[in-house]
Amino acid sequence: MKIVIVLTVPFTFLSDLDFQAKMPVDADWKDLLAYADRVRKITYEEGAHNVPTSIFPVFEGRSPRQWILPNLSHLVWKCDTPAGLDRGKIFLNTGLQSLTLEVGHKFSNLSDFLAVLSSRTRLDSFSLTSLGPLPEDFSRIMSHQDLLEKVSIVAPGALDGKVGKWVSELPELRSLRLDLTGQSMGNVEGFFDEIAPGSGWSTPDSEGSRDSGVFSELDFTEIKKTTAFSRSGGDTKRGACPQLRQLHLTGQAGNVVTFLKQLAGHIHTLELAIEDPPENQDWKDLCAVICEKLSGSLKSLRIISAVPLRHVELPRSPGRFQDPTPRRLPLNYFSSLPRLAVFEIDLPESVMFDNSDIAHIATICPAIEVLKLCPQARWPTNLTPPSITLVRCLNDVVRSHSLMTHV
Amino acid sequence: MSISGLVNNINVRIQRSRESLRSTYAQKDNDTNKDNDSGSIKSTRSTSSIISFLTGNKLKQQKSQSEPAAAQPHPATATRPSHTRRRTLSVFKKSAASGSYYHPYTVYETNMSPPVLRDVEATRKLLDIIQDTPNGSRTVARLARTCKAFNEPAMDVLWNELDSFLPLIGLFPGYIMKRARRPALGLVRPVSHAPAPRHILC
Repeated sequence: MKIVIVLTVPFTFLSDLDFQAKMPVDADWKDLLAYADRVRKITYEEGAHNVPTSIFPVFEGRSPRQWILPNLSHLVWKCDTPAGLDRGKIFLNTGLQSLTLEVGHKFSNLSDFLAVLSSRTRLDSFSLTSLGPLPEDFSRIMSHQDLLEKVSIVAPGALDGKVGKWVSELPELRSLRLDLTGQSMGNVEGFFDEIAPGSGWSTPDSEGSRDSGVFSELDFTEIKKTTAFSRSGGDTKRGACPQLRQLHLTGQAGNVVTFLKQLAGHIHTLELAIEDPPENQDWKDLCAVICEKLSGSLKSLRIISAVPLRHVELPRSPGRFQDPTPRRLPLNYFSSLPRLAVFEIDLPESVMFDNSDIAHIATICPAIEVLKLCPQARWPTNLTPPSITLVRCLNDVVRSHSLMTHV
Repeated sequence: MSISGLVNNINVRIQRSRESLRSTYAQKDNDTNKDNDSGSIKSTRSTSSIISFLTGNKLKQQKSQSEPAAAQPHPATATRPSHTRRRTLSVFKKSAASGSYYHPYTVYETNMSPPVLRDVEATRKLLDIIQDTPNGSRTVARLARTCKAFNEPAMDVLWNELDSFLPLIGLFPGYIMKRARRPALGLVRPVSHAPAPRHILC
């Protein structure tokens, strides 16, 4: 008789279970191994304290086979202690394609874990979020991972020049996520310091570059910090990571501008999590650099708040918090984005737009299909919403043959 | 796509299949009344065309005319007990040989599943969509328990992604686990290959 085990009830009742003295014998593993073959993705969160840690030595030492989850392709491992990180090694099987790793402070064994990872796997996707700094030999260890298409590093030391060199030399890299929060402009440019021309840089003379060199002349009026400029070596290194298609950056608008200036203009999808409200000059520079560097390739642009939306997460009851003062975010700094199809802005404070913004976007973005301007914006009772009228919006978007608009 | 929409879509397709069957048989009855001599041959063709129609694939229709239908067990029907398929086919053969157009209603019901669900990938995607809906996992679990043809693909979808190790740990026999007084106490000492003590936890 075949017994079918179906996940119909939550397993939270198991959280207060633990192993008895009797260890499982081979027959006890039958069901577990049969169903473990089906598992392709699993998440472990040590902080949830819902899994007895004593199960992992049993998995490692008592299992009838080497890999408990032989078909596992995606592992999400969130741990708070070094011991919790070590437990993850038993799931680093050779078929693993994606690893999302979140660790806390002072993980001295992180380097060892990454070494085991690199010796066993060749990942497509790697995401590391760490409160502590990256190991010194991070780029050397990860150099074995040469098939990565998606990289996300949010950790102190992620902007080191060696990390930048490793990232730029990934031939299959398509998506990159970095955190620039709290970094100086020099640190941001330091990410590109060790990238040698020809190994990830696309100079105006390089093959396939769209940069004619005419507009990439150095503009001294835009240089805010001479030291940063001197470290970067001027515009001779512009055009890094030409293989990159999706970029997610978090941080101040000024740092984002500095980073974008160094990249090649082949990015299709750009997601920026910036502080809100951005400084006016930084916002102006950001719009300018996006149009200058990415106008020929950018299809999707999303700008959100770097800070979690506190007023969105909280219950929406009046009087529990003070609504932020709505601020104007001019869109007329964008000059031309001819291939842009999706444009979303979702900021908590910069929510004031008017008809001229819509008309401007309709003009400079002839391929626009989706335009969302702060769809979750709230308006204090003592202020009135912006005077955008649906009729006027429709006139603008219909004139530019747009499809959907959310204002 | 909502579950109700999917169910409605499936119902509509089943209804269309039934209506097509009725029209086919009505037309066939008229033809038989006109030509009684060639009735047995036509009835054989009609039976094979009906089987092909229910599978919903013209290529399979042509193939099924030259090969036995049982030679191509479909994944969705592969889990059906073999004696059921044998009985279904034998009923078709009997009726075809005798020239009768009467088939038990159960024969139609067992072959009336929408053709789209006989494709493994399509079924998998459909179940994935269902699982993404609110209470989707519960719905997929019900599907797994309801129909043997759905059991394997539904179980694959259910176990494909786990947000905890608890479902796996729960597969150990009951005597392996015991309820601790405090949650997640763990072992008091590391597990070794030596025989474990009788009571590790207090």
